[in-house]
Amino acid sequence: MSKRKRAGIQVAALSIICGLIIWHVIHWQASGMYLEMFWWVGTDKGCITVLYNLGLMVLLGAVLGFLMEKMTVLLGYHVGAARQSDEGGGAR
Amino acid sequence: MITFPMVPGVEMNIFLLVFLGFMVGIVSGFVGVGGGFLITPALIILGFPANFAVGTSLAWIIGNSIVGTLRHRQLGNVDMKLGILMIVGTMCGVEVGVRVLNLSRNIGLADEAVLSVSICMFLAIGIYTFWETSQTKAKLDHMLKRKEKLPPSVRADSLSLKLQRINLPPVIYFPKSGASISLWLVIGLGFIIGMLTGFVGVGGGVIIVPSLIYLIGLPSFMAVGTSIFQIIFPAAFGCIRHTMSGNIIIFAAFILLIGSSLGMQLGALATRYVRGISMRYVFASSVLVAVIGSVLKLIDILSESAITWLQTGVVAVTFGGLGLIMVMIAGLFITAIRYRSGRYIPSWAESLVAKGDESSW
Repeated sequence: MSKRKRAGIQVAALSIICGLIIWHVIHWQASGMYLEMFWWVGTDKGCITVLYNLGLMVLLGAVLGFLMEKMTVLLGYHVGAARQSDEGGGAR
Repeated sequence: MITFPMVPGVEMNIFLLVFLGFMVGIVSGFVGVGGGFLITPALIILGFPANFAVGTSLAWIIGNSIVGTLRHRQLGNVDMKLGILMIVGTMCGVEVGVRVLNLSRNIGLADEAVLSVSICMFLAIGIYTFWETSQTKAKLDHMLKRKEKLPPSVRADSLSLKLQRINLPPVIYFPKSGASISLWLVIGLGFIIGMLTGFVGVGGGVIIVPSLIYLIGLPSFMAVGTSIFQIIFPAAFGCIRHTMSGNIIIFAAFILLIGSSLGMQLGALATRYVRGISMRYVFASSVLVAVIGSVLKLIDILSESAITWLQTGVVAVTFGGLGLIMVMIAGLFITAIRYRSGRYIPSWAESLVAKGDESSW
């Protein structure tokens, strides 16, 4: 399987996951679940809110990050080796 | 328009929030900062109470930094080994910094004093970066004028070389960055960065990027990628603390992240088209914009909000500064594209852009 074809399949799979996360967030916002979770803070259920907020940002960040990465591969962007010839701080 | 039941009365255009995320994402991807110093005042201006703006921006920074880390990793800009070792010190430092802050409040040191310290620190970082970058640009311009080939690797300045010479075992080699440095110095530096971050309250990337460039001796693009990776952890720590205080509107962070994930790609990819000095110029400009915002905030506190035009000034600085940085990045990117396609660019801009045979469509 070619690199771009594999990237195409990965993009499709990640898009579905991303779509599901977006649907879930909009659904919970509309149904008032987020407000309910907001009031859990300071109670026994507070840790669920903490874990949910952290988990959502990490998961969405990772999914979006991988999606963008695979999309550039699909579009044919080639990344070479890191530049070691860059002039960094205080070139002498 | 969307509303947030946690903060009654706040109504916001969803596209404005996405666009804000997009703009700050570009800046964040290009200069390696979290972007909290831009997002937080912008959210306050849009109507969020300050505590919600800080908490929400911290939650957003986690997702944004993960997106940025993955992109910069693909571009070969992240030194994971160095980043992870520094985080050990940074996390301890953040906790100590927060405790020092609480202690200073208990002994009567006011918020104005803390804000003044942060202004002085950011001003020093901004001015030094600007000065050093101008010196380097002058040297590169001189070399280009004499038709000399630019040196292959002249990235470490005298301070980073001195630090690298300290032979305190174990000395660790970082192949990605091409630097050998004592483990204790890396952890110690991370600790100091963390302590300053915890004490001042903001500025993870603003402190990390120049430290990596001037103290460790990393190339600018590597410092940008490694800084974004490191920011994830203090942001997650802050997010946990702010969620426990009920300061996070996760839906707003989610919308910002959708926009910034796109902007981050553009910002990160643009680093392949420019030289390190261009990134440092934009970085210094971002820091100086943050300084102006902080000065206005300080005046507002000292005058007990008596000066009415200050509110307008804060809006102008926040959005004007963001616009200025965007223009700088777009200008550099367009110049680099013109340079690569063999079209005319001014001679003074030649040292700002990379010839770029490292990546291609």
